[in-house]
Amino acid sequence: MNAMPLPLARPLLDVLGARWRVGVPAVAAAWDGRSGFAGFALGDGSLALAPAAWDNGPTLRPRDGGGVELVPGAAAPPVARVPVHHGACLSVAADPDGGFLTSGADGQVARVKSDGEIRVIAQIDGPVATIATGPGAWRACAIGRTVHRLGMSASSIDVETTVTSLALDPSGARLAIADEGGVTLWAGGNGQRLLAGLGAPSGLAWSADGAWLGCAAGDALHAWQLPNPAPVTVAVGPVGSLTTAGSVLAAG
Amino acid sequence: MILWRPAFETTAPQLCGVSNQATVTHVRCHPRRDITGAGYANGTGVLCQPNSTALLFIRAAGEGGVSALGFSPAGDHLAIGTEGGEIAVLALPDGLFCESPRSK
Repeated sequence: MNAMPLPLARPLLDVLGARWRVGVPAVAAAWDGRSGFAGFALGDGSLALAPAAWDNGPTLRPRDGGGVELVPGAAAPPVARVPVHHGACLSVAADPDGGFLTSGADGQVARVKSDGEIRVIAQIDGPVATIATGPGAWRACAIGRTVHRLGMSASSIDVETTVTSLALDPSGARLAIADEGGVTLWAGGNGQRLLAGLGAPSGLAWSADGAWLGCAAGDALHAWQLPNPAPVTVAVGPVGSLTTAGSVLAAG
Repeated sequence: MILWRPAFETTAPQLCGVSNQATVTHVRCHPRRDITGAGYANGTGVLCQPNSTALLFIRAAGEGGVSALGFSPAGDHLAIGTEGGEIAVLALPDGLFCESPRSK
């Protein structure tokens, strides 16, 4: 990595970050770009609101003769914990109108503003493990094999088996839905089933331009150059997480 | 960790990150730089780059596996959380990196 020479005997978090012990598992994290808070979904049903920056925090400054040096700063303030769900908070995403959208084991989908205000926007019968948000005021959640679009354009679609992952394309036009048997594209109405029988998909990710969709399933990565329904595939071994940047698919 | 550029021609995936016994649990790509963040089942967190073996350690192993990971939309911060109950936010100022970010 082309990092500037810093005395990095310690992990980066210890010199340029803030760490908080919350006593319960972190389940997921999302950012509210407007307020600059990270929202962490926690195992006790709360959402922790962590500030990205604070007064007199650590910084880097240019050093005489080149490079940079660390300017140690004040410790971070405590995090706010907003009690949102009964039982675990299962997912969190940035809400299209600012703040966060969370879902919980209690079947609720709630909007949480960065000042802690909570508004329940859906109550569903059963734990809601997966949500997706994005452009076009998309707020979607999955329960069992049903995906609900919430809000003004409320609608739903049933896929073949239990939904494991949702990914909205960058334009907000199409939602990719992975279930235990395959992948479906949904733009309202009936979905388009992409190739099934891949093995259980474990993750979905769109390219930045929305031209292709990546999927981890079985021991392979698949990518569809839409609208061509035939994927290109590389065998890589077990994959647990998937993401994209520009035209690169990263998996681990 | 595997990086693949599916150009719909013959492209082989690359490997990067740390080779250890722990499984990668979370991967996220930086929104504006050629940098990938990865979290491992033993709690390790790193930043790494395609075509490079160099990496920056974010956090050492411990406090359970990495269970939450995400870059801020502008790419100037990273959030990381673990099964063992630690949540953390890391600043990624431009001075940390030699190259300029991609323009939006």
